[in-house]
Amino acid sequence: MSQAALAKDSGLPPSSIAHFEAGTRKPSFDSLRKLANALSVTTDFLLGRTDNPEGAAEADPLYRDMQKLNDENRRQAADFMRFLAEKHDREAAKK
Amino acid sequence: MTGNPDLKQKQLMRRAELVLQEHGLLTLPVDLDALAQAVGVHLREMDRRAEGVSGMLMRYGDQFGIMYATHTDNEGFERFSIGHEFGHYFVDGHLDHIPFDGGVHRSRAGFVSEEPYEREADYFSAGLLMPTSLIRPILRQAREGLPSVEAIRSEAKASLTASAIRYINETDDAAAIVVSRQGRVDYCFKSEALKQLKGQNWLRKGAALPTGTLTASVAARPAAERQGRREEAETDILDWFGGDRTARTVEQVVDLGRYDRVLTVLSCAEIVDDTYKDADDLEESDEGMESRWTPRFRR
Repeated sequence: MSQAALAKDSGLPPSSIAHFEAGTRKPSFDSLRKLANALSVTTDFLLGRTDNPEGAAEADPLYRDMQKLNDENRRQAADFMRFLAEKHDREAAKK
Repeated sequence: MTGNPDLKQKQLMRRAELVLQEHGLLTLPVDLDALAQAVGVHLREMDRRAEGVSGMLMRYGDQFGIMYATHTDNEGFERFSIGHEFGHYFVDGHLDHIPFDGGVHRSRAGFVSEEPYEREADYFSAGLLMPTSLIRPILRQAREGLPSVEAIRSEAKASLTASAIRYINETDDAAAIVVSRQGRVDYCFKSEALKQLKGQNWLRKGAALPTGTLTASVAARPAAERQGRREEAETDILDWFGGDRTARTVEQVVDLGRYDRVLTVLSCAEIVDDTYKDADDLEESDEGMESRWTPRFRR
């Protein structure tokens, strides 16, 4: 896919695509998602966290530095992360 | 932060404004729920006991979420925290620099963060909640000083301190804001017009408030006496920042309640008015000259 085509499909400026490819600028999370959608790959693949373009998210060691939060906060964060994981799995299953 | 910090700050605020424009959300108060929905970021309130953590950006694969604190009972603070996490999401390069522990990035509260990427997220948030193109018309209508700050706060649903900082960024008035805590300066910002005055000092973090000022006397009172109070006095800009030139200044003081903090808004209309005066009018009167050369002692 050419830079121009990727710019068109992702809605990002062609100059940004050129910068990302050359490594002179790093994208934002928002741009990363737009690129992943346009390329039909996952953000984890673009981040180099998995070799499988359609692969599920790499398993993170969750909450290894959560000591600043109290138990209730930790529970809520874990609950929200589970929600995001389920959402991710549902979206992945649709593809 | 790299390069010229003022330029970087403007770029980040502009970036936030472009995001709003892209999603047709450039109106006040900015609808953060609508933005979250438009970009597919899930928002969730954090438990009220989560004091000390203002927000978290979370990621699982392609799914993103923001949890935000509600313990302050301050809508402006909550909105600023959400805007800050959006900053980490929208600003280029943050994905490599903000620490994600197990898919979670946590941020601490405050407009004046020490860490460069946290500061960038703060600037983005300020631009997101109070975009320049929407703030400027408010400032054209409101009176200088605290009324302008309050007009921004009310229209943008922002916190008083964040509104005060945006006022200083955008105003053509010669003005300054000082946020102090227990009689010591937390931070101080001057408007561009005020920065033009030569020979002035900056009030550094931790410096004592100038003695004899209304703010110093308000700060010295017990918290219960100060609570929710707003006061105003006439002063001279020399009393606050020294320098070469005397200028009548309105000092407006607001107790911020939490953590013994006090906001001071200083505005001196006559400095801006000079732009439109003839050179002859600028010659100092004898009285002004005498006042200028009389040694000034802090009262």
